[in-house]
Parts: sequence; C-alpha cells; structure tokens
Amino acid sequence: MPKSQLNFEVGINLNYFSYEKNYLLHLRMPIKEFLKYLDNNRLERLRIRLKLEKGEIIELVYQYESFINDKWNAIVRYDTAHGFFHRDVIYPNGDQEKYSIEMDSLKVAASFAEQDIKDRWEFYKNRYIKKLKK
Amino acid sequence: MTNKEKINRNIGLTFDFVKFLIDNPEKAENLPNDFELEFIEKDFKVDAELIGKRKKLVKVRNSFEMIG
Repeated sequence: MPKSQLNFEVGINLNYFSYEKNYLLHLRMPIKEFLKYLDNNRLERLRIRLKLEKGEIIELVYQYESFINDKWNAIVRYDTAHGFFHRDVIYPNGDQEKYSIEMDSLKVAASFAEQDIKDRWEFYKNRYIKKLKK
Repeated sequence: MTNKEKINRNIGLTFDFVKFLIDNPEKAENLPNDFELEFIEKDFKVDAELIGKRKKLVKVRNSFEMIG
C-alpha cells in the first residue's frame, strides 16, 4: 500500500504538475493543491489545483492518478487554463490526447469533469494498463 | 458499500467541495498550499490528533465546514 505522499514523488507523467507549479510559484501566483484518496487501499486518487487571483478562483486542474506498478501514474487531466477547458488523456509513453470542450464557467467545467471521471475512470485506467503491457 | 461505490462517492464529494470553493473563494484562500482532503461524517468527534499538519478535515453536511 502506498503511503500518503503530497510531493511529486514518482512518474514522468506527474511532472506536468511539478513544472507548472514551480512556474506559478515563481510568478507568486497563489495556488492551492490537494489530494483526495478515493478508495480504502489508497490506490486511486484525485489531485486538484486551484489558482487564485484577486480573491477569485481563476483556474482549476483536476487529475486522476492511479498506483500501478509501484508508482503513481497520471491517467487523465482536466484543465481550465487560459480560459479554455480541455481534457488530456495520458498514455504511459507520455503521449497525450487533447480534447477541447466548450464550457462557460468553472462550475460547469467541474460538473463535466466529475461526470466524466465517475463514468470512465476504470475505462481510462484499463486502457492505460493495456498500453503499459504493449 | 463496495469499493467502486466508495470511489464514486468520494469523487462526488470532492467535486462538491470544489464547487463550494468556487462559490466561496475566501475559504480557498485560507487553505494550506498542499494538503490531503479528508471527509468526516457530521457526527464525527474531531480529535486534536486527527488535525494533521497536511490534512484538511471537512465535515460533510448540507454544506461544508472547515475543521482543521
């Protein structure tokens, strides 16, 4: 069972968060980041990042991660950066499939991401594992 | 509750929490920069030891209440 780790511990696919976070910190942008473990065995989790500006949340990133082969792997990410909402489906070799999605507010984008993760987290994970085996 | 049901419940609660923060950004400003989110039932007695350095406890009611 993996221990709770809040740092960017393992996996090339988690680096996106690390690099962007360092960049935002460099710009002194207030950002908050948290993890929510989803299951009892702590093998599935969501990583959420909020970017604040003038007392408002201006950007949100949601990332579903799974503990596979002794490391955390980013499986799918939803990002509202730069005013447009998109989903990145991530593969073990680092490739990403990017889908732009029209959304008019952070709350609508949150609802979309929530439903998509609820409906498809297992599908995304299984496909990731299949690609790992190839 | 099966593992899958628990996962779906936690996904739902997490996004409810995010929507709460969108509506109440002042609560987001007061959060630590890095933390682990833990939901506790509304009748749960909060022990001081449970309020960890990098854990944020949130009581699940009709709305969210920041505990520690």
